[in-house]
Amino acid sequence: MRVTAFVLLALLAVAGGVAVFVVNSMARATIALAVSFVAAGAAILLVDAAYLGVITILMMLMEMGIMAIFMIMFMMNPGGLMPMSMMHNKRGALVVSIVVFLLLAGGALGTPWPQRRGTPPSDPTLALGEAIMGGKMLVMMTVSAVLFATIVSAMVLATGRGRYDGEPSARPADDA
Amino acid sequence: MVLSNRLAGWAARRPHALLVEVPGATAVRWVAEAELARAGAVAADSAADADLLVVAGAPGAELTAVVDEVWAQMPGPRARIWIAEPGAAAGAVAQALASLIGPGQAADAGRRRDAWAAGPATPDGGGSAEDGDEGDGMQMPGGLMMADRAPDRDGLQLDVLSVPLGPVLADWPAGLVVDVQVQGDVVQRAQWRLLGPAQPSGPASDGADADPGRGPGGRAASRLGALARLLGVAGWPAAAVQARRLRDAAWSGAPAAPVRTGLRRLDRRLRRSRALRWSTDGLGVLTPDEARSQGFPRWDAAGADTARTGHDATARWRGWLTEADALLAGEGAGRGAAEGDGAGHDAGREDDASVARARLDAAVRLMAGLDLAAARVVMASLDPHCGALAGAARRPEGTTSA
Amino acid sequence: MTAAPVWSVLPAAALVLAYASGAAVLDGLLDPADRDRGAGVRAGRPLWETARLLRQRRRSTVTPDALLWRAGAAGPLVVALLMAVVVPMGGRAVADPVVGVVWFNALDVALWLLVWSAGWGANGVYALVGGYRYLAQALAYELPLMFALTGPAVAAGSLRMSEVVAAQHGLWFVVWMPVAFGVFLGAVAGFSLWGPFGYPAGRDVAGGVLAEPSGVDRLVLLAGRYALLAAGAAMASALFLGGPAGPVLPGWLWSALKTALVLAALVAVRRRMPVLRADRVMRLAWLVVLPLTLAQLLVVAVIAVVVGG
Repeated sequence: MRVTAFVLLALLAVAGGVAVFVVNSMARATIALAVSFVAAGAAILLVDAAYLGVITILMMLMEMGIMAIFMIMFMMNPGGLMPMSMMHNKRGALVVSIVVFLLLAGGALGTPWPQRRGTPPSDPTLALGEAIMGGKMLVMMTVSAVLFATIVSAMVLATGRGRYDGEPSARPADDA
Repeated sequence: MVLSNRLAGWAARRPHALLVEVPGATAVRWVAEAELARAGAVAADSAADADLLVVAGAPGAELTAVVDEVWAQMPGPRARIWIAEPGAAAGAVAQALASLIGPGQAADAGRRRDAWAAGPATPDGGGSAEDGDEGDGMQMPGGLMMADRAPDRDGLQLDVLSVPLGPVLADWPAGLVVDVQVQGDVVQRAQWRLLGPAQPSGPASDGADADPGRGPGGRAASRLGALARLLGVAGWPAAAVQARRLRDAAWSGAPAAPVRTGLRRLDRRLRRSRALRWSTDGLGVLTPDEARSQGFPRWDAAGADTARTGHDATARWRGWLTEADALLAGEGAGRGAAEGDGAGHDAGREDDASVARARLDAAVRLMAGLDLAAARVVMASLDPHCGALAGAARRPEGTTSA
Repeated sequence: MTAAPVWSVLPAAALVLAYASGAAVLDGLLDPADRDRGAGVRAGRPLWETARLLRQRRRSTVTPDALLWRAGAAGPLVVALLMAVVVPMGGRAVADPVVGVVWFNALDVALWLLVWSAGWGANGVYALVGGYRYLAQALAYELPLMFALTGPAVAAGSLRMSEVVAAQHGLWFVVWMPVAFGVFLGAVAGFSLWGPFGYPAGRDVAGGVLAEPSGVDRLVLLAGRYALLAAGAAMASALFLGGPAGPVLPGWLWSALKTALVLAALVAVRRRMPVLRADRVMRLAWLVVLPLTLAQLLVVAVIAVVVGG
């Protein structure tokens, strides 16, 4: 059951990745990449790492959304209007992706994975957090809040105006 | 068959109507709106949402072409009515509603050749919400145009798309087209033109019946109608309904006292709404001179704090509330304003036209640099009276502004 | 709490649709435009609209991205049903994964791409702008929403919905997390394109993401909007209002009542205020709401550490 699910998800992930380079619209490429990541996240769910799986899906969907904004936001050709190739430097990209794929697959297959000792914890999320952070949990949490606040305030201070804060008076009269 | 009849009966209880107003046919629109509301119809936002296409007034050739295009975009079952006179509205609406569930719909569906259907698309197909073929973009599959590229105000090269706003757009001035160039949803440049009525209606053919802006009740109604549109654009349908009801009551010559009571209630509600002020504050600011020359009342009529914020959209909707109340009380429009100034488009025909032109010029100038939502609030708050412009039969075209 | 058997997916879905229909009925009853018509006519609005859209032809546009468009139109309904899977009603949920709270969050992020696709795919300017507005607005509410969701999770010491509900015995989270509760409700309105956050479907852009679909597509999209409100309301009652906790009445009834109440409040707010535009909301969200939510989270964390020892 698990193996079947894993095979299906793995195929979906790879198919999504391939689709990114096959489809001829930026929007579809974005969505295909998102599908690929969701399949990868779902595969993580199969090893009972629920938090990691769901958070992977969450983060990746969010990133694809942001990417859609940055990549396409100011391109005003909606829908399937303009077929365009998603590939730049076709040969190089192909070589790089195949080499990386082989390296990662080789690593995954070649690593001597340890056998499970003991029983899985009742709350794997908690156990995971403690395994990663250990006694530094409080420090890490404080630092992350501070980091976040710093990012936001730096952004606020650095941008004099947002996208919607027009300065019509200061705009040069640039009509032809 | 029984089921489909049942469905048709249910569907007929809430048809969605898209209204196209021809410049100078404000009265027809008001009657048609009231008539549609009586029949249980609601205003559609777009062609895709509409069952009924209601053309108020007699459109000229260009506007008729747009109406045909919108008609072709309606999904169906669909019905179209042309209402030239206010008196004809009731009958036409009833007939259209009947035809929506009538047997003619199947035949209509069979005859249709839609631009979106399979097969080669027609070169003039409108895939964009309105017609999308203006501008000088490169021609593309489906006959649609591509975006160009232009520097934006941050110095980036971004796609820029030329889009006509209007003339068929909810809560939009009659027959007006604003050709905007947008980057993202930020308007970079705007330019207006007018799609006129069949014949420019002279003062002779355009009596008190067709132009509601006559008489104190009608003038109050015209302020309230503008307010209803602004509230619609600001996304507050509940308040817009209230304003529209008061507009109809004021225009129908109902006793002023209950109308004024209702107006006071609306007035309180709007002035108290921080969200509404937040959404209109600081938008479309006019200098005192501009505001005067465009027929807006002087500061004191609109409230004391306009001195601080300038004559912005908030000042204008507040001014409408004050003016409407004064008109209903029989005090005349624009207390404290010079005769003819505060009356807006109530003065002579020529003045009306120049005021409307000034407002349109100001609108396209102020729209630049705003996002579409804010740009639409600016246009709604200036409430250009396109009928006056069409009536004056001057060159109905606008000026560029960036 | 016990995890329910697989078939319980069906009653859960039916419940979501029932609440969604209820919200549509209430919206019809509250609409001042129909004030003069009988209550029956007003309450029947979902029925009339459904009949109308079922009769309507399924329209397309010139050269749309049909796949993304249709998928995007179906998205909100699917996401709402998936959200409902982890929401406990009366102490029972279809599933009670260890990461229920994050599950909800991940699904609401999935809406970003789905609603954006619904706007993009139609190949119309207004729809496209509507789709981008959804993303812009999401940038405003998403981080506050995440921190608002963190509050109950920190207080309960778990991401499991059943434990979050159980942790509220004695004191509902809304009492000491009012900011998080408010932010959560705002975010629900936000991801449902509703009321003051209806900007992506605004009348000023001819309905935005709703500008182009007709017939069944439109029906599914509109139903999805109400279903999202319903799922969000049920989640709010479980996260902040103690779920089934309450005197006298049985737990399931309390859950149902609280959900209905939150849903009614969400529906009613639409008549109370205009749409808030992104250019104004952004500033508010990042400069006021986000710091407030962080402060709320700090308070919650300190209390949780002190009380939890």
